[in-house]
Amino acid sequence: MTARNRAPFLLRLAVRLLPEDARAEVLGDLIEHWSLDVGRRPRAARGLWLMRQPAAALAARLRFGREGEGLVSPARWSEAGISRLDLKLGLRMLVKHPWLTLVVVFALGVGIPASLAPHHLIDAVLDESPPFDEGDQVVGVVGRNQESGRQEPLRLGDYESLRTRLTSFASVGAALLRDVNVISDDGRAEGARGAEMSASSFALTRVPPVQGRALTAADEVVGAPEVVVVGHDYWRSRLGSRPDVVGSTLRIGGVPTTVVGVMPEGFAMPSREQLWLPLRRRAIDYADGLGPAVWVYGRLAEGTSRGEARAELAAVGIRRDVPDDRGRVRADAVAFSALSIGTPTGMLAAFLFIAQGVPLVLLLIACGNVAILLLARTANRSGELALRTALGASRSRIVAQLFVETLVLALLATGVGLLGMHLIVERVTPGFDLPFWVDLGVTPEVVLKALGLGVASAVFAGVLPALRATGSSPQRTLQAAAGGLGGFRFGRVTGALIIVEVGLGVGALFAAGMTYRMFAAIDQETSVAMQTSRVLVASMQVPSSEPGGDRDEADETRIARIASMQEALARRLAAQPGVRSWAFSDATPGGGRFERRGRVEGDEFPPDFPGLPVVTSRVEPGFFGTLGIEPLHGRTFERGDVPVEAGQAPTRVLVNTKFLDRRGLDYRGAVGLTMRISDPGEAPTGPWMEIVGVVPDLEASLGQAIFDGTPMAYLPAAPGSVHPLTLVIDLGEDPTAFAPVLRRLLADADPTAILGDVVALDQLPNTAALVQRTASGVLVGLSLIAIVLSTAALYALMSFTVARRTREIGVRIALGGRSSRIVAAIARRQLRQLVVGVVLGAGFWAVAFTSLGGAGAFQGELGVAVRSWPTVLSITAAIVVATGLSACLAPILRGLRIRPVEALRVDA
Amino acid sequence: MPRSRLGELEEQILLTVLRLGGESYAVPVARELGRLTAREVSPATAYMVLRRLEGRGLLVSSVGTPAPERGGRPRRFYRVVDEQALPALRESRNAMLALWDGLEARLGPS
Repeated sequence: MTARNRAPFLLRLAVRLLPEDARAEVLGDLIEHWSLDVGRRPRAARGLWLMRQPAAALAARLRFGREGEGLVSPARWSEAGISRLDLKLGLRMLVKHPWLTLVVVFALGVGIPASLAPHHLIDAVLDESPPFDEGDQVVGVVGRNQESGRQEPLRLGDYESLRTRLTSFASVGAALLRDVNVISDDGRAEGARGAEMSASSFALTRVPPVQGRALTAADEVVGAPEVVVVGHDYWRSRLGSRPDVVGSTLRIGGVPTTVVGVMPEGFAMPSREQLWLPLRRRAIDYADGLGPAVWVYGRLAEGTSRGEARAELAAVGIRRDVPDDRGRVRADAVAFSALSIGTPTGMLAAFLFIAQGVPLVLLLIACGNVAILLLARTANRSGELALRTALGASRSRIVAQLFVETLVLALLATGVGLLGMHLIVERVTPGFDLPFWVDLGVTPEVVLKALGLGVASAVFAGVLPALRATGSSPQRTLQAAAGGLGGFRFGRVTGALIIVEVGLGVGALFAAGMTYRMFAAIDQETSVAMQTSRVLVASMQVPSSEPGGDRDEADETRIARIASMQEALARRLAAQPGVRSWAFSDATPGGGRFERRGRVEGDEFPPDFPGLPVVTSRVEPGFFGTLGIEPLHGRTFERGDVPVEAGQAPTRVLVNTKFLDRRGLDYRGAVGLTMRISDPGEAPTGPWMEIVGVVPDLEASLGQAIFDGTPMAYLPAAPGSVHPLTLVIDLGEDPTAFAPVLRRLLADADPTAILGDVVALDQLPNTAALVQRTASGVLVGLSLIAIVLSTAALYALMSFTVARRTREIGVRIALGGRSSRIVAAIARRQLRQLVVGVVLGAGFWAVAFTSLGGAGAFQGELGVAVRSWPTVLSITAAIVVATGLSACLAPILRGLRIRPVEALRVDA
Repeated sequence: MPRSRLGELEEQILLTVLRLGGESYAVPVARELGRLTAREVSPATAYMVLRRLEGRGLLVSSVGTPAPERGGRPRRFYRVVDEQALPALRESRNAMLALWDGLEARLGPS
């Protein structure tokens, strides 16, 4: 068993069907039986046994639940007349009406998971308990600013003062996150996520190691032997799953450290860590009186609620002996997940709340549409239903049968939807580095909620129409059925639903079209070709040489080490065949590190205004040359522009075209101007720097601009002044083949340096492309759903209308009525709904784009794309109208082909 | 006298607990029942029946210590309450014997 409670999903689902107080014990029984008995069976038999458990649990609860505890009993079901025959009939209806089945499964199969997804995502990430034994009792402890109410990390001193004074916690632990550098026996240095963690953390989680031991209080004593506990993933991927790993030695930060234990799979406290060192108190930690920021968490004492813990924390308080900090922060208990993600407040909380509700609205619309389709199907059977009623079937019996038919459809749709959701999560989540307690997968809770929504959809879409369909007296229905469809009428609600769906279809399709146009226009704005296939991009770090990490190393020493590494690596790169040029920077090309404010000399802002947003990046003189980029005006950096010392302010700066566009400045005229940069919240008092050149927008050139690109200012980087570092190397063909060589060169230059990601420039992660694809995909999906549903509903309603008015149409044809007038009579209502929906959907966007003021804010290709909205809107409307008309066409043609004799014979 | 007669599965599980020494938990009960009757019963079903029998006063339960093979979860042991359970089983046996009486020849050897 792992820390993540990896009992098979079906066993977890099975116990969720049982009373809450029985779940833990039954899960234990099932796990024991599974591992000791079932585990010896062949694979297929094991799978079959697993699949039977949820049904067995449900049946057991129904039959043997204590009074008042059970769900609806089979006896009650049989009283309502629900039987296996109803299920058989329901399954038969699926096959008999394949297109209807397809449309309903599509609508609900997308609608149900989509309505659950936001809530599930928010639940999985926020307010989530870690997957430990009684994990809901493990909470985070954070600082809360008394003035702003904002969450702040606690310090090591806070942890030490709190842990002995709290009675609402059974135990308290802390972790100081730190990336560590591990040097293997062959001298290779690799980074790993680690933490200095208190020994109490291991006992608090109740997760024992699978090998060796966890950290103990004795390990925390300063001067004790250097020990480390490793995670299961690290043991498997970096240590080759060695059986003799306990007792072996790793060089962490250059210090020999003994491995004393291995934690089980899934354990990554407090978030994603894989190496755990003892948390030790050092005098240097308290240079500012507070110590470094740490994650603090605790297990509540038995019977204590989070509210009680919060009250105690507020009363006990934090003791900080720093004059400026006394009383500024108080301690608070939060969900464990809030330690890393925080608790949304204000606008974000409101947005998340709305985001959970919107898909439910879509589900309601889908259910309404499904109700229309099913009602139309039921209307076709009105004669059959009336006959059954006349033969003695009660209304409840017929309604129950119709409900079961709908339920079968809804459950099929739910299953398809959950399967789709599972496949999407399986495909997407490996790309995200999520904290260990986040489980985006389809959990038993999600399955149960989806089943609940499926049943609710079946009630809404099945029972209500069934009650309507069985409302008339059998005699009247039989008489009416002879000439039509039992006197059914679809009311205003139906019409409104059609209009809403058509409008949504137009709106979503237009948005999808414009999104595609605008992103394509942004891509076209690439004004320069970069030699993306020749350039290698590598990230690297130089960790502290002190065991305590960065907090044990003085700034000057650190800068000198980084500069020394750069120099040593540069010498080796210069001697390496195939290397044409290289340069260091603080960010990948197209990226930047710091969001700040920039003012240009002579601008019209008030003197104390810090300026417009600008992102800065520090680069070496050869940076743009390595990328093959020439400046549009002026020049790039030269050696003389680089500050002599790391802390010295630069006097030269480069800006990109987006920076000047935002300020309305001419590219050529900008060279020679001066500008100053300040940090957010600070007054604009930084030194003036001369703009020596204008460079293209690298973000757009790499296709990474999400919207309009980012205004950038580039500053010359002195050796040792940037960390972590990015290295760009111009190599020629297949730059990724150079990665192992680079690793060796870096290890030679500085054995402690850590090499991170190494990719070719054209393989950089492209968030912009992801955003574009996601946005376009979502909009296309929404428009597809809306159009399919509205088309299906129009077809169903038109068919129903033609069938209901068969006699009337026959009479009109017999009396020589013109086809156009007959069509108008048949289709008037549906065509009106179609037109109104299109007008409303198109009208909304027309008003929105007109309000943009003629899209004057957008320049260049993007402006052209935005100004093409009338064309895109017209095409969208035409598509939706054509789709709607085609849905109506077949029933209309059917109506025109009615032979008067047969139509009149129906009445006789 | 118990409130109502034992159901078939309730009777079989109560007898199985007796066969296992008068005290057991869901997993060996399900296993033993499957061995004797060729009827595979899920531990979840066995647990719910045991719990139901406890509710009827025929068994009492106690919680054992957590075990690693169960993911650290405890077992719930059920013990037969002779004063309640044995009369119920006797009644059930007598009813079955009365029904079987005279039919042995018809059924033949097992």
